[in-house]
Amino acid sequence: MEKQLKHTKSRNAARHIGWMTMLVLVAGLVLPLSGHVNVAMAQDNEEVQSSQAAESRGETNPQSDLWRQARESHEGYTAVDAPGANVLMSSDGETFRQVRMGPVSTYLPWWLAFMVGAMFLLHIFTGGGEKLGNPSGKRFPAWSMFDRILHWYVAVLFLILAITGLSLLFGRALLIPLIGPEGFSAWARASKFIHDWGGPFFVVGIVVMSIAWLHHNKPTMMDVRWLLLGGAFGKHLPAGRYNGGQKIWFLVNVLAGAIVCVTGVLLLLPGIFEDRNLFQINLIVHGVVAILWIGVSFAHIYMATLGAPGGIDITTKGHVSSEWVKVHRSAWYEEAKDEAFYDESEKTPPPEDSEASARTA
Amino acid sequence: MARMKFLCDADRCIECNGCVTACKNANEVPWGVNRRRVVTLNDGQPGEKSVSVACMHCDDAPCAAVCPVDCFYTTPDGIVLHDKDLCIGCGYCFFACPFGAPQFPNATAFGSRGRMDKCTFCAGGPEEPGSEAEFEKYGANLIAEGMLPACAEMCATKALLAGDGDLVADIYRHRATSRDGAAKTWGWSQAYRTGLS
Repeated sequence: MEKQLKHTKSRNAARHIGWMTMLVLVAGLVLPLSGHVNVAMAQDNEEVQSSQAAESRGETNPQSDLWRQARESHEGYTAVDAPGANVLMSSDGETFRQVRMGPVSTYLPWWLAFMVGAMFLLHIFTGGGEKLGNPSGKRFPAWSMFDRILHWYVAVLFLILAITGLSLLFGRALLIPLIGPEGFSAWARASKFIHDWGGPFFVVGIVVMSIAWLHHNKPTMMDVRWLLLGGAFGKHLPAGRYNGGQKIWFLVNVLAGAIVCVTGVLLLLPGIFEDRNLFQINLIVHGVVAILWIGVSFAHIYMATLGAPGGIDITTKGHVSSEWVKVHRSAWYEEAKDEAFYDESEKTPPPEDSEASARTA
Repeated sequence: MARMKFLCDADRCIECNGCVTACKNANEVPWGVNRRRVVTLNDGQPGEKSVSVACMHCDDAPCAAVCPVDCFYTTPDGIVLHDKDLCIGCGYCFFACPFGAPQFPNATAFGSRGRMDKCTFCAGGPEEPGSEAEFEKYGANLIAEGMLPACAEMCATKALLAGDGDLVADIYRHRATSRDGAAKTWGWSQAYRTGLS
């Protein structure tokens, strides 16, 4: 027993010595390092103090100043006569590259996909607008020939510019794998040509449209109710000649049109607006606003076709069936009842679906 | 494999524009297009410095990143070249480039851009090396003939160096150690993302 106790004691002592040795070793390793920390901190303070002192005296290294100037895109002298040639280095191009190849190329396609998906879901949940037919042959006059031509002039140019513009931004990723570099280069060159020459004609269309249709698009309380209570989701709420959704689409056209047209014209004339920064910002703004606009146009196209079938007659024939007006534009129906006329040739039987006919009755 | 680089020693450049002239002569570039230029900072003041600048043949070239038709490619030597047959003259590369290297000849009376032209490190383009088509579109291919870019070869003060980055750095390091002051490797950190190596 005693022997055993003695044994334990010596074992404990050995363990203590082991721990002490470890402690000494660790301390021996770590403590000298604290000297480095002290010195480093002291040096930092000195450096900070001395540089602060130099700055407060207004002293900087003249050679550093020169390279700072180069880095900050200061203008120098050069014998070459070209805009911006007297600048050695400018970093704004890197920002342009990062924004264009980053968020613009990454997130904007999702906006287009979101809008297509949203229209698809809307169609599935509401079933689309009912096909009304025109059993009475009664027609409401809506658009003059001028309105119709203006609509399709702007619409066709919008689609052409959208397709060519999107090709220039996303073609590298989407079309080169499909049609090869040579094929895409030819398409991109055609796109650029069509985009450049179609743009000015589109500007004229947007300006004329903004002025010509302004008086139709004054917002009313009826439009607010139509929007808030879900007129866009298949409910037949009272609406005038144009509903709240159409007035918002008009507003989008005017605002986005102004931005896209102004930036577009500036981009078109790089020889006149010779400014790197202006061009970089314009290119980004032009693309972003145009793609947001294209996304909203999907809603317009859906509403005018599957969303309320029959309404497209306004843009093609200039008049529309009284059945359509009664369902989709009840306030306008009351207002313009007397202007309606009969056209036997427009008579179409009511759709087979009895449920739809019952709703219209 | 060599990594071709340019280096302009601002302590040696005397703004003679010999490099600009040599480039124009060797490549027969069109009127109004300057693949290389000399920029003088603080011109006429004490401590003025001149730097000859052209395409720096960047590691991660911004021009290549923004090109809508992906017409740029980098040779195994690290030289950034482009295919003029694919170029559509949109000008995006010019707006992305930190050094103002891409050049555009006027294509029409309305000032629209022709196909982009820039320094090729005297390495021609994607055509058959030494062919007439290559010279017509891209200028001389001195690299294929075992020579270095005409601008640097012509430089009277050997301020403009061109060649394998390691050799260029060695020459410059040797100069810098026998001189006072800090390194003046203008543009290297922007173009190559590394120090002097």
